[in-house]
Amino acid sequence: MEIDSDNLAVGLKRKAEGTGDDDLTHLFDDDLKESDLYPQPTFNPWATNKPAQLVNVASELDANDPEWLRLFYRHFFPYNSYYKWLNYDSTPKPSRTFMHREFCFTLQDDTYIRFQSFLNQEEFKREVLRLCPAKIDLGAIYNIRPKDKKNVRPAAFVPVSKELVFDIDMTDYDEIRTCCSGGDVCSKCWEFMTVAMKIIDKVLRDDFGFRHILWVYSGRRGIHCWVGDERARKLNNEQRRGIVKYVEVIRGGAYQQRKVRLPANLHPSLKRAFRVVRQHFPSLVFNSQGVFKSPEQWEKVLAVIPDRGIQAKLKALWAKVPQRPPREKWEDMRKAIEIAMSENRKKTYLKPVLRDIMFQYTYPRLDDKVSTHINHLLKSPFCVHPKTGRVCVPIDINKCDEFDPSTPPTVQQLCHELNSYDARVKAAAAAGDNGAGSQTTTGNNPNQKIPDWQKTSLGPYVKVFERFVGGIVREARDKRRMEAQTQASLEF
Amino acid sequence: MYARRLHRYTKIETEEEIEYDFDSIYPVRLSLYLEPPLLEISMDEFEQCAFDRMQILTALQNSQIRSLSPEQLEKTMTEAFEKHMTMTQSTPDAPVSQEVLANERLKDHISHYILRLAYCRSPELRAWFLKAECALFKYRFDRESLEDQIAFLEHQSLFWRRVSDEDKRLLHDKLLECYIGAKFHDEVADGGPEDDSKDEGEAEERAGRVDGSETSEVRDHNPRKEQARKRGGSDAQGTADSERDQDEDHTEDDGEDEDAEEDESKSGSRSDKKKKAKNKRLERQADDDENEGLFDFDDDDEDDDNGESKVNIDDVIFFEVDFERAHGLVGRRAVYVKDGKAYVPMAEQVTMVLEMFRDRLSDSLEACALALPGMDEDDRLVPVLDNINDQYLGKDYTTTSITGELHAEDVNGLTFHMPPCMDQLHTELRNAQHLRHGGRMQYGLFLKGIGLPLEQALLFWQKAFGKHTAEQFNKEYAYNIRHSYGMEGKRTDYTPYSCKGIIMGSTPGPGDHHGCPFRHWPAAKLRDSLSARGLDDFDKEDVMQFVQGHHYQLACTRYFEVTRAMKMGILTETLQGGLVEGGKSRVASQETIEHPNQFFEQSYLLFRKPSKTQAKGGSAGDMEVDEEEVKAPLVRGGYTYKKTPQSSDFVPTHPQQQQQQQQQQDPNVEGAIDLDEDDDDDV
Repeated sequence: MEIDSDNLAVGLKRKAEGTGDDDLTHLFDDDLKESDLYPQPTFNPWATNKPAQLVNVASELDANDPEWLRLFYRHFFPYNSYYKWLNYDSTPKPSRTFMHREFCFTLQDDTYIRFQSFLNQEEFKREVLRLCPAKIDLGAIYNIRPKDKKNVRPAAFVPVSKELVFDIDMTDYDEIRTCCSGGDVCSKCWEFMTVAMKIIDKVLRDDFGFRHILWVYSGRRGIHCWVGDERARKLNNEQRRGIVKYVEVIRGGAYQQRKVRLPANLHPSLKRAFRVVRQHFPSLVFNSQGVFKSPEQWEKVLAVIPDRGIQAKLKALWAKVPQRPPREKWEDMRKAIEIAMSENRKKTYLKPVLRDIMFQYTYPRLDDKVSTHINHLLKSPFCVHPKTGRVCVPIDINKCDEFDPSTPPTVQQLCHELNSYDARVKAAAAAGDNGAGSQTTTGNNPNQKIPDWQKTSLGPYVKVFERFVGGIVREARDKRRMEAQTQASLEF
Repeated sequence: MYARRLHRYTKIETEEEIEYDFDSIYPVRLSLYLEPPLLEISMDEFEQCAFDRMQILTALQNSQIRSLSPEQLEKTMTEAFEKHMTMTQSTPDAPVSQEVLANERLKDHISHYILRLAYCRSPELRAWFLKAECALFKYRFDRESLEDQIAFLEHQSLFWRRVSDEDKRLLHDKLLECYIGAKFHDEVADGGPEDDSKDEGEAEERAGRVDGSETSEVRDHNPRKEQARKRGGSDAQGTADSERDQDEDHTEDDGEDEDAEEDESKSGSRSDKKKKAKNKRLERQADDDENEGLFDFDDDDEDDDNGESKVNIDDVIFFEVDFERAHGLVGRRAVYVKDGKAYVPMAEQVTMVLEMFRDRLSDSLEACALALPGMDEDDRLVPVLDNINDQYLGKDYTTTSITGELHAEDVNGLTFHMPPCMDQLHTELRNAQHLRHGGRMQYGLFLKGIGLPLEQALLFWQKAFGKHTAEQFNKEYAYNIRHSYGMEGKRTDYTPYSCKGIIMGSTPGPGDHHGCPFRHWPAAKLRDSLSARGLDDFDKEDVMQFVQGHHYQLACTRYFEVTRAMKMGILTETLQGGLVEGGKSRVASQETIEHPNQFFEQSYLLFRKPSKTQAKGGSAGDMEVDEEEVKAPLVRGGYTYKKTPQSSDFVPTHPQQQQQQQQQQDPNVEGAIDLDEDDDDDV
């Protein structure tokens, strides 16, 4: 399909406006989200004839140039495994799951194109390279191809399935974190995300029996979770809500001081979670967040205790010795509560308070709308975050303790790595010509098809992703085999 | 009548003889309405059936909105059933012929399906119908005898499997933990002190109370059900001790809504033993804590056994079911979940059946909506359906507004008339020059409802979001505003949120300011805010009492009365059952506030005249009756449902006549308030 590129931008804009948005809440989900994107609406990536000559171009571009994106989509995006994932099948033949999936592209001038769908991997790749979207979102799988949405009545266009997803965003922790706020994140507050991953992953695996779980760094200050099990994809909104409520513990708005209120006997799932909470609480709250270091912060903690007497007592005590170590302050709280309980037997309600405070200051906080609405969009893995330039890479859950949000590569970094890799290979090849056969097989032949991402620090992340995809493909294959067997046995 | 016709379509029919096998048509009284009835009925019957069922549904709904006491509810509903849809049950003492029963049950069936047709046509209608039918199903299920309940369950193909003794032994500890957790949940949540913690936690569990039809709440006071639970809980032998303990726990469970208010008296009568055990446990635990470090609370299992060893699940039957089928129980963490299976104790079967009923009905309504356009061809049907669902739906405040066209700059001057939920958003918007999505939707649609046209709304929001440049604003927010006015996307003209929507809707998260202050704010903050609005301690407690009883809309209504009275210079002490002064109701809002825009309109109308003529409300209402005053009750009559045409058609032409009308209405007012007070007493 050839389109005059000058008219294209206009056409796309019109298309995006005309394209209905099924639910008001999908777009502009919140103001601080990553919609304040690229500032260069004038740049027209598909009008350029520049071949993406890595070596030359990369050194000329400045950090904000959208051309980086183009290089990324050309060289680093793992189309093969990405397609295998979304196809959810053992054969490369495009399945409904892929063809009926909604893709949403956010172009570099902030234009949204919703309800895109593709027939196969090539079409998808072609379109991505043509448009160079600043962001790719994944939506639900519909009963018909989303592209054909306009051909049917609105009521006849319904979402059928989608991964169960979770979105955890650091902004929801702003009231309890002191090191950064808003869009910033550092290794100190990243521990919140580590806790979230550990707890939720366990719930999904042990309680709900899910096997195919992918954790993805959102590129700046949050994480996403994709559950690809067939059973998870088929959940309806109500069932998704059931799971979210099962996980969720933090409730209440800006005016609510005590946001956690759990029964004395914790549910086994929460008991398990509490072990993680207990493990991370001291380092997070006492050390890195310093919640007991400033009056402003510790008063927030005290406000949670439903006893004015204790609040006043401790406030006075700590005002006298503000440098008292956090651990001792915590001990003060514990003692004060114990005394209050022994003095007045009716005050047993104070007993779970400290435990609930630990939950409030450590337990994951979910953006529940993302999880409970099947047609809600979520940013795809392997996008490049427009603000940080970092790739949204999968996180290996077994090593989630080691993940540092400042380590995922930026596109610039990837290009440099690729350049130096190629230089190395060339040098090695030259050397190999002389010194015969001492090279590794991969290094020997520069023309052999090694995907570019494998030559860079993106490699290990893609490997994590491939493991996830491999599991899905294997399961699809086993299922097919089973079906074939039962069919065969029926025929006899 | 119907049943013989139905028979024509059943397969047993042969040409020569017709045998009526009524027993097999509807062996049980309850139904999940899985298959539509196949028979011919006349248009008149069609309408009559629909009308009768509507009477039942609205009677139940109204009772729940007005929070009737169980006895009153029982009385109202029995009357409604007798009048519109008898549903008898044959007993050995009073046998009823199978044909009569079949006819009754068929009518139930037919009318349900007609209303499905009428109420599948928009998301709002579907939501209303789903809620109403679920409430009705629950009401009826609870009133069946245990045998009938079991008979009903046996007739459904249910997808759960009894947990074998072997498995139960393996899972014993976890099952016990969950069983105890679910059971003792309330005890903890309710134990809170009076000052500032009667808040979210337990209220969350009971949010359903507002409309009384969510599945999770309103454990009715039904002795039969208790039996059922008892049976599920501890079937035969168990020690006398554990038997009694179980019983007590069941009682407590059944009254979970009330526990909050009368925890004291009840727990007093409850065994001291339990308390002692608890204290002992506490002490032991304190010791443990010393030894084990700072953060050990009650994580270790042995500790729990100590406290609750009396609870015994040996005789409890558990069912294993895919968690998808028990998502409500899973969401409340009331069951143990492992490897995708939920382990549901017998007593929670009711909840599962309800969930199933709800899910299936919800799905069929969607399916019905998809199929309906095909049925439009029968042009007799559409007008009838229209007629059915035109009735009984509250006003939606989309089209008409009493203020005429507002301008962006008028909004500031109208804050007095706004209910607290909107006032807080306005204040926050002014302070922060920003609102998050939930707040923008709630407030934006409200403003639309009071008459702010799209252009003015864009102007208003752009000014309000002063920190953003025009470009930013257009890029990020303008689309949403246009969308909510039906000018973008799928072009739905969105309606302002009702109280129920706000109370039941998304709970405000950190940084959010939307929601209902009476519902979502902690008590202390609410008290401060009420004081700031000039309520004295007496009135404040009056309002807070409603809040503590989870009657958020009644609290708002009371707030309306008190604040409007103050503004008009009427002593709030004289506010008895609405605001009646000199036999004349001036401020009484009579009906519960059910919509923020209703609050606004009532208030706006109340003050429109005095502000024009500069007359003080208190004295103006005495003898001179002019047009304006005549109008006030008129509009009031039109607020809730269109089912009382006489009050809105009534146009008083003479002061005396108006006087009469007031007098007629006053008993109603008092009655309504009385009921609420009764309810509180019962609690």
